[in-house]
Order: sequence, then C-alpha cells, then structure tokens
Amino acid sequence: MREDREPWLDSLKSGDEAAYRDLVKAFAGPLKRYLAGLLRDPAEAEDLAQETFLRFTQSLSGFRGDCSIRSFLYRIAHNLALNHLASASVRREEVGDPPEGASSSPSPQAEALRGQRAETLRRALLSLPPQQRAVVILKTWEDLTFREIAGVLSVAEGTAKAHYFFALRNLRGRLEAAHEP
Amino acid sequence: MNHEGYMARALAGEAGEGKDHSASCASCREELEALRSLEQALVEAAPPALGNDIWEARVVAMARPIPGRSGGYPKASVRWSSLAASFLLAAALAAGLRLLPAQNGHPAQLAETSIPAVGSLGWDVSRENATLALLQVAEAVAGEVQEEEDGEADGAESPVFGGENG
Repeated sequence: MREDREPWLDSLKSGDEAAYRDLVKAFAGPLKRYLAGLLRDPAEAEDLAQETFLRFTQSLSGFRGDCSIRSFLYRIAHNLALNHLASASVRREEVGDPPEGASSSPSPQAEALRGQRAETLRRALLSLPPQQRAVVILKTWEDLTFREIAGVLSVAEGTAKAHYFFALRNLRGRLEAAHEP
Repeated sequence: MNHEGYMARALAGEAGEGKDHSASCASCREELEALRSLEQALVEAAPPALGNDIWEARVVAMARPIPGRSGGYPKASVRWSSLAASFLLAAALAAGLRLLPAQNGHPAQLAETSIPAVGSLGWDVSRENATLALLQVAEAVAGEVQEEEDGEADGAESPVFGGENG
C-alpha cells in the first residue's frame, strides 16, 4: 500500500518546526470535522485532534511512509475515536446533538431549506454504527480514496468499498423510515 | 458476483462488470441511482473544516521539535520517565521524612533542626538539604532512565500501531 512519498516527510522527521506547523495548519480543520462527525461532541473532537497530532509526532520515527501522512493521521484519529466511543460513558450519550456546524443559523429561506436538509442528513449519519459512519464521512466529507480509507480502517480496499455501499444503503433505509408516517 | 457486489463496485466508480450489470438489472440501477444521489447530498452537507489559529498554535507548541534531540519530537516514553521520576520523588520525600527524628512520639516537622547524621553516611546536613539531596538523586536517576529510553525509542516501532503503518 505504498503511496507517493510525501515531500515534507523528511522535514518532519528531522524535526523541522515550520513543516510541523504547516502540517497542523493543513489537517487540523479536516481532522476536527472528521472527529466531530464521529463523536457528536465538538469539544471532544478538539481534544482528540490534539491527541492525534501528539501521537503522530511520537510515532514519526517509526513511520516508514507506507501510507500517506493524511492516511496516517486519519488512522490515528479513527483509532482514538473508536476507543473513545467504546467507553460506557460515551455510549450513554449516543442519542443527541448534531456535530459542530450542524446547527442552522438564521439565513435566507432557500439557504434554510438547504441547511435543514443537510442537518437531517447529518443526524441520520450520526445514527449509523461508528465504522459505517466513519467510511461515509471519510469518503464524502474528507474526500479520501478507497485506498486511503482502507488504510485508515485497517481493512482491504475491497472491504472498504463494501463497507461504503452497505453504509449508504443503511443510511438510505433510515432516511426513508424517518419519512414514513 | 451478487447484486450487492456489483453495486458496491459500481458505486466505487469501477468500470466494467458493475456498470454492465446495472445497465441490465433494473432494480440495481434504481438503487444505484438513489445511492449516488444520497452520496451527492452528503458531499453537499459536509460542514466546513474550520481552522483555529489559537488552537493550532497550542498544538504546535505542545509537540514542537526539541532542539538537540534526535528526531526532534517528544516521545511517548517521556511519560514513563515522568512517572518514574514522580515515583522516585515521592519515595525520596517519604525516605527523607522517615530519616527525621520523631519528637514526643509525633513525626518530625520538616526544616526545624539539623540532622546530626543521616543513616550511616555521616552527613551533617539540614533537613532541607537532606530532602534536596534526595531530590537530586531522583532527578539523576530519572535522567539516566530518560537517556536509556531515548536510545531505545530511536530504533523503536510506532507505539500507536505496533510498527505497522500501512
């Protein structure tokens, strides 16, 4: 699963602070969005995103570049999020608020309708099991390739495609069920 | 390959069998169209990936490269060193207190009088100095532990994934 070698990997490994700053700048927003989508809690998402970068730097000396830095970061974040979700306290709060950015602020009518639809989708997405939720977010929000998603989830590429299909089918079923009287 | 397999491949954008099958299977074609529509709606529903300069600066500060250290970054083993140092520190303080003479059956107070001799070492130091000396020993031991860990960590595999990155 070797992907194109990152041009800044050597800089990061040598402890180049500017390269590290660029890395954080490039991936902080997407990682927080991904984690918020998985966890439903923006504050927890921020904490885990911070922990993701810390773990990344701690793992850097052993990182051989077998996958992209992006995949590596998402994989750390994914594992942290699954561990977090596995805790009983989080399971108790599973029903609830949409992730960061899901609340609609006052806007023109057309935008409100669009925002309402987006919020419905996000809520339905939150009802999926974590692994299905992850694959859908990684594909549709984070625009990862199936190869990258396979790396994040530690599964074969074909399995990642199958997960995606079944996740979308599941989501569609939930949306249809929600609209039935 | 079953219908689901065809659809999974077609949804993933694979040309060939999946597309051919959906062209001839009405139910698969219908479901595939619905799933693609849902996929597009999800893409449009993505919340913005907001940046936060203050938060990012804090993250950079937390894990910034350390000058002079091989690889530059703090390592996971630092936490173990901190734990070891804390343990030694606590042990040193407890030992320091135990060495102090009891007064009227109660434990002695710190920094009150001089200790004529600490154990069999024959040191004539104040209690503060005894505690400081023990702290220095703890720091020295913790420093040695850290150096050993650094040496091991330079050749270590990833602590997050057990060395498997791909």
